Amino acid sequence: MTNRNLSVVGNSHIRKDAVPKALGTAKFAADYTFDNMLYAGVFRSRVPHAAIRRFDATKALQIPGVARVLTAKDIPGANRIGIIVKDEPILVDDKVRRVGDAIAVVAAETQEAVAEALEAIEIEYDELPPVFSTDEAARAGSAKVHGDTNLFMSRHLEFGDVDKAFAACDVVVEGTYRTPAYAHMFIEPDAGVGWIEDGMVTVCASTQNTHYDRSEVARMLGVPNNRVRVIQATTGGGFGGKLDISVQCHVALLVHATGRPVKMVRSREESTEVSSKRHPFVMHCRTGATKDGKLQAVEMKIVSDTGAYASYGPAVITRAVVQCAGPYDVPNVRADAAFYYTNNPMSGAFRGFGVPQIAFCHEGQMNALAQALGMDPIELRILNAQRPGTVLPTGQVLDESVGFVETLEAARAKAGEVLRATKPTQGIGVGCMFYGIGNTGLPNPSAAFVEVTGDGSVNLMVGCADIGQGSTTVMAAVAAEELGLAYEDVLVVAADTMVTPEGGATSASRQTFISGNATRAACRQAKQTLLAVAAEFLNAPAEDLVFRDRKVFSGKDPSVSMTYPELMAEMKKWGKLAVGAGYYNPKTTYLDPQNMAGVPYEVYSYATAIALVDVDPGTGEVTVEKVVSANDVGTAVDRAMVEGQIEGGMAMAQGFAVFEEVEVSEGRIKNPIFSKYLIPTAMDVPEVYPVIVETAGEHGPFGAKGVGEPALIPGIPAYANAVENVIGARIFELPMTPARILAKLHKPPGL
Amino acid sequence: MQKIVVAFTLNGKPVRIETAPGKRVLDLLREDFGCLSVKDGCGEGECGACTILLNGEPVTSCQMLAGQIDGDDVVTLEGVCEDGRPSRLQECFLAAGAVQCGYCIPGMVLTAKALLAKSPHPAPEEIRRALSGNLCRCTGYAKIFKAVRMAAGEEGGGAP
Ligand code: FES
Ligand code: FES
Repeated sequence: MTNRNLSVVGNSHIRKDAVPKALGTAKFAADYTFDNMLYAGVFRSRVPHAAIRRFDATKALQIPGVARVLTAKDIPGANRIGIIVKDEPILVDDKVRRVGDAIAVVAAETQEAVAEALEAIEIEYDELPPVFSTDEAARAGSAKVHGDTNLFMSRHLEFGDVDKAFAACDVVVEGTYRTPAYAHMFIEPDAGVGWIEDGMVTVCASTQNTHYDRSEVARMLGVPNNRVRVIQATTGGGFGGKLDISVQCHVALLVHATGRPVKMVRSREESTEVSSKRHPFVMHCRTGATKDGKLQAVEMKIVSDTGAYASYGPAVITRAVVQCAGPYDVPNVRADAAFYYTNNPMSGAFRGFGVPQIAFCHEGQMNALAQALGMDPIELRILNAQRPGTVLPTGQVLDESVGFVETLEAARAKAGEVLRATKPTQGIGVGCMFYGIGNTGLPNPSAAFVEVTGDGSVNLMVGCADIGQGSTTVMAAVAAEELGLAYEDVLVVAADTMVTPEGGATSASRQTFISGNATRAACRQAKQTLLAVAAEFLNAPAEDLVFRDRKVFSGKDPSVSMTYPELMAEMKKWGKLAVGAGYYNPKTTYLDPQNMAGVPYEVYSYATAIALVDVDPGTGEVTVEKVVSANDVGTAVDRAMVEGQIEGGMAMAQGFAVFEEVEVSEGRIKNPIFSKYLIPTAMDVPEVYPVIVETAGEHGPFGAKGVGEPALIPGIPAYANAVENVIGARIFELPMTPARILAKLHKPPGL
Repeated sequence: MQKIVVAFTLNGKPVRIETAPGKRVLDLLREDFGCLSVKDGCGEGECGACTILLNGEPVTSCQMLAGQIDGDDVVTLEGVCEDGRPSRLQECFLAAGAVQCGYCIPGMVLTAKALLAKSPHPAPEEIRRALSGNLCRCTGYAKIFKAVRMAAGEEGGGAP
């Protein structure tokens, strides 16, 4: 625990966006309507892999009220999008690569006419042999999804002398772990509206990254970035699934072609079908230790189906490899990962970028090791925990910002109070994780603009999209703290490309840390001017002055003080303005492609979850009853919001561990709707005991790191381990469905 | 196209409208009455984002057609707010930190309101059961339970 003596940061605030959301007046994209507005929809492929032989919209265009049907030929600029690799067509121009590929967009006077037009479009395909598995993708002579190989990307990490280390181990455990594709199932399906304002195509959409959206729309239209405006509508959850372009380009293209406002709202089914899915992983892992329990070597092989398009695949593969050994001090590590293109749904970003998958594996290995060594699983983790000074498999040396042991101890203490297995059907299990904040080994800056106005109220402009996690509130608290004002004094304008500077993606748990540091930098710049004026007025050295609680005073003599209104009056007298622009780029390095050496992240968050589950031996049903999760967040900017992330994360983890799974058959998602893809309900969720661990380190604003993804990850292995402890068999595959549990229960012992 | 006239009470005021019989109540409320708090999350009666109170009972408006509410009493979140200000129940959602992305919140508030009208001091299991038709992907429900307990006067609310 650190004592930073803060006045705003660390409290719980009423979120900036909470009142309109509680009143139902917050405007989501589907809530916008304009005079003369057209409704729009997308004509999508129903086959996974095909060339288009014939496309005919004649009949569709004859339907009354149908305004336009546009295809690839109508795109004035570039027809390829993708955050990292631009391999996805906005509208198919060469061939269909998955079920749900966009082939044409339709705009009409009514939603009904759109639906009719989509039905009336005629299409004939020349089907190509499909690729539905990584085995098929890797087979010589298989059909190719893009170019001349289906191997989308591979990564190799090598650290120490792995073979020699294994030879010297007393115990080696080994296993193959499988995790399925999951669907984000944010409750608001993707939606957007567009219009022309001052001659500029403007799009207002549900999104996690307006500045990326803007660049794709501008490229598509062949205009400069500043001739397109993208505004984030209130966004009903994202979890990574709204990082890719959804409706933005389609809406913009129709606005550009018609000059009229256009609205496009995806159905639940369409939203699930075409937004990205979590990469399904197959992980083979060997973990070796000496008999004292010290980890000596980890070797992991990962294979994944990245689907038809790259999306965030490169981010997932790199992070998975870099973090494969978990939050432990392991001197010898080797990892190999291969991601393949297929004609399956696109895999992409989903809360954790591959770490939920690898955590299931490295934690399964730790539990197996604890058993093989006859050690307590928490003691084994404490023995091997990363600490300040630990050298990571990338060669990075950790500094003081490491609170892993603290999370283990805090979770164990709380679990001792609140978790009791009282029946043989109940069991307790543990799961841990670490998570690098921000993009992996890449620059990923965010910026902020700030103005302290003449009455001491503040306008803060950040590109950072609040998708419900609360970044707008975090930025306000950081600005208020730095400027010595109150939380209520700060108005935040977020994610509007005409007003706010680049904020990067709301992903990788990066906004508190990176946009938070940018906000602080902007405020510091504004403060320079305020400080000079205050020092002059108070006749005190600037370095002694403290800004706090709407006052400026000397830290040496608090009676030397002035109020903010007095300060702003002085500013006015001297013709000074308190403005600031700041940006922050985390201190990372590019990684060596040979072995992944480098500094992938500036700072890491840590977490430990301990869960109590019940397994019904008759039905095989797993109930997660209670869970303690201790998260090292550096500093909690807002305690209630950190708790909210942990509670939401532990619920989502239950879905992943126990029942969620995207079923794909012949490239088609069989369960794209809530009646078939179940997510945790109020009846299902465990009782969650969040524990906030605050640790040293000044990398983030007032020491804050990030929690969005770390809040989810440890729950998954903790639930799996708790089930293992009930049924006495290891869990190698998620989700832990009744059928899988029953199969384990009825297997002869020893298998 | 054939039209029907539907008369009902919306947020305490009698209303009448000529509409297509096949129009979903969800669309009728959003498009014809501007009740934009009623959200479409699935269109199949599973998520609860489109919840309204129909004669005091929470129902999914995506599963009802215009003709089915003739003569009924309909309440949306717009009708729960007090002159555009949050009601006490909504204040509890704010104070509990129960709001994240907000898409599920109108439905949650209405369902909670119906629960509290029937059972002013609901047991934790009762709260869970009542809210089980309203999906939330963000919060894990914990702070939503807390908001309901706060509204029931169990200040601060213990564990659910
Ligand atoms: S939209 Fe009606 S239940 Fe989901
Ligand atoms: S707050 Fe996002 S779905 Fe409930």
